[in-house]
Amino acid sequence: MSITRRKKYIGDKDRGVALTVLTDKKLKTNSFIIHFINPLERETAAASAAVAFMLEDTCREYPDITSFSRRLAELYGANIRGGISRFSDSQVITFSGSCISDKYALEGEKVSAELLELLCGCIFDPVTENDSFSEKLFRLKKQELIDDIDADINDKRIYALKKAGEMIFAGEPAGIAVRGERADAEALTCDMVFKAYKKLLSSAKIEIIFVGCELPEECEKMLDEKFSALDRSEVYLPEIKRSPAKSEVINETERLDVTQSKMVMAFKFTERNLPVEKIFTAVYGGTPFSLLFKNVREKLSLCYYCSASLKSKKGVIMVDSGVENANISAAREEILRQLEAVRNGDFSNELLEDSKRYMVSALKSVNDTPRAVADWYYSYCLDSEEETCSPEQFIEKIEAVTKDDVTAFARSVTLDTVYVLTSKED
Amino acid sequence: MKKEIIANERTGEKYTRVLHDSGLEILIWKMEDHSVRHAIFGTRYGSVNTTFKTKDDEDFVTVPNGIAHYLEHKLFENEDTDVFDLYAKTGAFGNAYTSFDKTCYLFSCTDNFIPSLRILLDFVQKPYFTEETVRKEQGIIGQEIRMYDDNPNWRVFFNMLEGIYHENPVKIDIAGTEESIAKINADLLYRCYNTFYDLHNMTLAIAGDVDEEEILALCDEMLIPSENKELISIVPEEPDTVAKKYCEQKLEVAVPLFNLGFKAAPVSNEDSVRCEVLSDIVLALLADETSDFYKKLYDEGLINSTFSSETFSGDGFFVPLFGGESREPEKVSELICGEIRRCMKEGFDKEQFEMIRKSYYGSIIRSLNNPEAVATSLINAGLRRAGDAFSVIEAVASVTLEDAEKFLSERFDPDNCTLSVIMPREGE
Repeated sequence: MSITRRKKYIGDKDRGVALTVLTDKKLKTNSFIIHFINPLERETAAASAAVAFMLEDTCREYPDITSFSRRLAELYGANIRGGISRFSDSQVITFSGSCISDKYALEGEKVSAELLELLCGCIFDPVTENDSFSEKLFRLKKQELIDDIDADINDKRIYALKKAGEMIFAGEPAGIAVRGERADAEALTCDMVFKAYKKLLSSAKIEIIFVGCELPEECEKMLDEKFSALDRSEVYLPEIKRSPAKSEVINETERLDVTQSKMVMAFKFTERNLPVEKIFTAVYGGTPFSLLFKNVREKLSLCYYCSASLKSKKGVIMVDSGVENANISAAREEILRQLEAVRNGDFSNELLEDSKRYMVSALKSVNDTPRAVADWYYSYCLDSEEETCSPEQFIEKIEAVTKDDVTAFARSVTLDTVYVLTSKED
Repeated sequence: MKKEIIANERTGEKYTRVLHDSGLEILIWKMEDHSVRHAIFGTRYGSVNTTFKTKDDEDFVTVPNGIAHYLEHKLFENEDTDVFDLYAKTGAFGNAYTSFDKTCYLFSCTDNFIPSLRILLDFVQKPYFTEETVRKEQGIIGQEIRMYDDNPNWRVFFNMLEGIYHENPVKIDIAGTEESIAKINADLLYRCYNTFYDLHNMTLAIAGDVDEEEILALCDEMLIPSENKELISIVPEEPDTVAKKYCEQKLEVAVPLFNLGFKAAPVSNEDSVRCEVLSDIVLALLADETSDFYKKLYDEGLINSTFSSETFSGDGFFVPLFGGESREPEKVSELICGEIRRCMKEGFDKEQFEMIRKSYYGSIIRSLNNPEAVATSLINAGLRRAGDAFSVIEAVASVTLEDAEKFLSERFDPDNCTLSVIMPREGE
């Protein structure tokens, strides 16, 4: 029920390495999440992304996947993963490890400390040869990165969102492919990736988050030692910039061999008021009783799914839908008509209250899931301590949102980009 | 009402099992300090249950595919309102799903648990459909079926099932086909509802910081006593051998996808947990990241990190399978079959076996972390009608290397498997 939180910097604050400790006795697992926040640039995106693949399943002590995996199995099936994601206009390379908390170990093993040692081995002590990564491992990992980029097309919903993103954020870092383009990945060399790795260690903003039952003392000591020994220079300071609205709506249609179409409509806004943004998104299309779900899906059967999601830091709301080819323009009209309804205050107080209740319930659940609570505080990592809000504090802000707030916000929202993925024949 | 405490020494955990007078089994696992409360109301009725009889029927009847899923959609709609609107008043997140052998209605909430449970118990026991509302749903479900036509991961799996099974309805999409759902009408829905939504065929599973007395009082008030209809559901006679050894389809993918499934004899409810655990362990011994064989495939560039395995099993079907992306799926398939033959002859490595068992134990402990996962383990145990929610952890603790070797030789027949492949479209 109650999460205890503390945050500290490892070394001077301007070294840009922070540790957030989130503990709750009820949790049965311990997790370490280490984010390297890095500029998102076309020239370096693929190389930094490859680092996530390079480091996630080997280290000097366990130099091949078999010995590494066996070590994880011994630690009661602990896991370590590398990940690549966005944070507004930045690229984030994340290494995380999770295990059962020590009290469940059958023979009193210090599972958490042993897991952290392995995770630190991946990050600080990888398999190298001649001052670079192992060439053989690099070749396999490069292919993995290419396959991973290629696999986007397997899920048409994700593919449509990715393609739409390129258009919505054209000219901004947020519009750059987060793992680089396929051609960039193909052009990678082992040295390029090693250089990107060194750059992450020296210059990325580093956010370490522990979430679990209890952070063992030896783990905190290990984190302090490892991260304060890093040679840091030119530390990256991410900026949060709203995406500028386009002067006219961009419409783009792509044709592939598919039976059903996907449509992504992006709206932009400049006002900054997170609770109002969230309630607007919920009322419009964020819940199964929202205007979009009720009208576009249930009443008119135009889409199999149609929902709104918020990218607050970029000032964007996306409506993404799965739609029959014949219904594309009708769905587009109806989605816009429902926005008009919100602008005109043409929705019930009941819907507003239901949406708030839905949001409050979601906020109260955050503390029950380790990853959710870690992500909650991570989203505030660029904000000051005063600006950082707990889920409980955010509930109060949600309760205070009025219908006028929502309609006023809706009026500030403008259509920016419409991307349609459809079949080859009409 | 019959009440018992199911406790487990190994984990120190316990829950309550109640056999309610209405015929319903109720499982309650109290988890203090958690904000989320999770409830699942499930019936032993999934897409495979298309041939059945009750004590009122003279003979078995066979109905069109897709009714279990169709019913799930329709129950979510009351006569005057939609279930989502009701949950909106309590702040609960409601949902439902239909699988091959069960249908479950669930919600999770932080406040208003009892009012939310009242909604759940009410709508699942109160079907309402007319010819008109049934027809309207055909549009949405048709769209749902077509959506999966574009999903290569879904297609590669169902193509494999079509290869493995001749007659078993498990090979048909859970939602049915556009032809089969066209045959569904209100009468058929009521018939299947009355057969499978008999409380004797259902379980209610609850996990979270809840009050048992309050729950049972609400159940006394809400549950409509039902007569045990002695339902029997059967799957058609199925030959032992696979229907096709190879199936291929072309879709929008960059790298070919494959599933390789082994046709194994179905197991009884009593044996299901032990067999699933053994199958998972054997799959891991053969080719998970702890095996030398995985490294060999990986180093040769034959597989990438999407390679994985699972045990697909349930009422009348049992298929251990491997899947992932590969540029040479047929070669991977041959090598896997070769590795199986090698292990049948030479046996498994004891050290690796112990490691995998430890890892399995850890994954179970981790799954006890939140009420949703706990409620899910309860409903699975309840609807299985054998063992309890600790059967998995006990099976993991008790199986031996010899059991795993025996299981391999009995249920992984390299000559009785199906390789399903999704190839990229040509010229792209």
